[in-house]
Amino acid sequence: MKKKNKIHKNVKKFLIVPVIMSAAICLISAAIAFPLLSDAAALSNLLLSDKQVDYSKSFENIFVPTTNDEDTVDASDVEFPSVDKQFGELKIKNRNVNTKLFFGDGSIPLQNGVGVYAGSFIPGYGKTILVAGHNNTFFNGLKNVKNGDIISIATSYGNYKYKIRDTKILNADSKKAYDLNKKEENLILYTCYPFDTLGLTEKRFFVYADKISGPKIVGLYE
Amino acid sequence: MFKNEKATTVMYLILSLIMGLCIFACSIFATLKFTIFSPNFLSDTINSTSYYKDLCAELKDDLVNIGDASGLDKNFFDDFVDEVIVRKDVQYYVNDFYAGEKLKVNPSEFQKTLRTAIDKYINRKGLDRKTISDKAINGFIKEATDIYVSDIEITYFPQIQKSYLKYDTRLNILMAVTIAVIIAITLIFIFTNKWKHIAVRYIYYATASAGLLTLLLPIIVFLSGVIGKITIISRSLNDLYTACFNSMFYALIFIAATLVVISAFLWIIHNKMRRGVAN
Repeated sequence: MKKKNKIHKNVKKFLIVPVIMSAAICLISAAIAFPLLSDAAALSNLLLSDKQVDYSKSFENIFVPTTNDEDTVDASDVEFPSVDKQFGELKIKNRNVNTKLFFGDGSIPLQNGVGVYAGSFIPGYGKTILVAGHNNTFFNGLKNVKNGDIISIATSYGNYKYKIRDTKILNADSKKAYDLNKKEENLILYTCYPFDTLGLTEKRFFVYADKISGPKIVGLYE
Repeated sequence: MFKNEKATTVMYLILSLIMGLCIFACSIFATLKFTIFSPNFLSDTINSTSYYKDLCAELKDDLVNIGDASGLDKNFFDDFVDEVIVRKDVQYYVNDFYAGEKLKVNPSEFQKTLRTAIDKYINRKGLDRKTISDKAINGFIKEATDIYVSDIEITYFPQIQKSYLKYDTRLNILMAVTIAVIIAITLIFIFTNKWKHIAVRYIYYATASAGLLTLLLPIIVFLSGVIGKITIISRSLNDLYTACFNSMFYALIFIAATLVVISAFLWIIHNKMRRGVAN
């Protein structure tokens, strides 16, 4: 019994005292290091996030061809694409333009097709749709377009047609090139100019087209 | 007499607590000093991970984007990114960071290689130079150079350089002070105790408590998965930062384990010495 008590006392000293002292050191350290916490918090804000970065170069395709020929489509039936997703196809018959249509105009869209500038609108919203593409790849065929040509955009919620009204060559930073606040639905395609040249050019080739058919998205602001 | 004995015990416990705090602080300072505050540590981590390979792959992807926009074939950048040049430029950047120099990347070698590659490409394709605008080519080289510089630069280094320089000097002083305090308290324990096993016991308390706390820190970090939340837009940099922080906390575990072993050893010595005194 006496031996058991002695062992118990020994273990108590062996474990309990360091554990209590650890807790005390922890509290003292926290108090001393408190002024450094703002630096540590700033660093963790810079480095940490709950959202994981997607490093893959693959893209998601939400485009499913539809035969919907109604005049309207409810906003709740439209899956609004997020950046880098393919949500449609863009074609200009006989002009060698037939490409995937993405939302966003970053590296994934422009390496795999053409992309709607995320600050503009997607078809059906009744506003300006601004589409970018590379002049030596998917938008090379724009060099052949003429006024009156029809641009077809197929999406999962409807098929749209736009008639080319005009083309222009402007500086890349021209403020007259597009109006994103226009009230009527219009499509603007643009690419670097001149075509088939090496290097980064300062001019842009713009194609302006007006909507002639396709369902209007309704129930947006209810 | 009894009161005096109690006061002495309390005083020794306080000294032991201060010693434990100093050992813990010294463990943290040493870990920082020999990991993220050490130029060799970052260079070793870069070399032991696939950082250069990943960086070259990312650089190639970024350059292919600009190549697409500039009318170059997709395979133009195959075998273009030279890992030797990348290694050299990254190393210069890292050295400048630790030396407190202004952080900059010198892209002259990259630009020279790119210009030569474009000339070769024009000749190989049989393109008419008169139809190629120098301004457009220079615009492409400038854009490609900007991409190169931004990929070589290590994210957040410019922001943390000032803090690094500030804390690096302080770490040396703090380490010296804590070591001095540890030695002083150890000597107090040894020379103020008639029975040396008591001195060993208090040193054990300090070492064991510091060891436990040092071990607790990386355990909390690993269990909370904080390191997995590091989010940097470049995969190579994300992996590099993750590897650096993992190594830092592994180093802390190593130090903690060493402290625990030392304290166990001290406890054994203490018991042997005490039995010797009793006999």
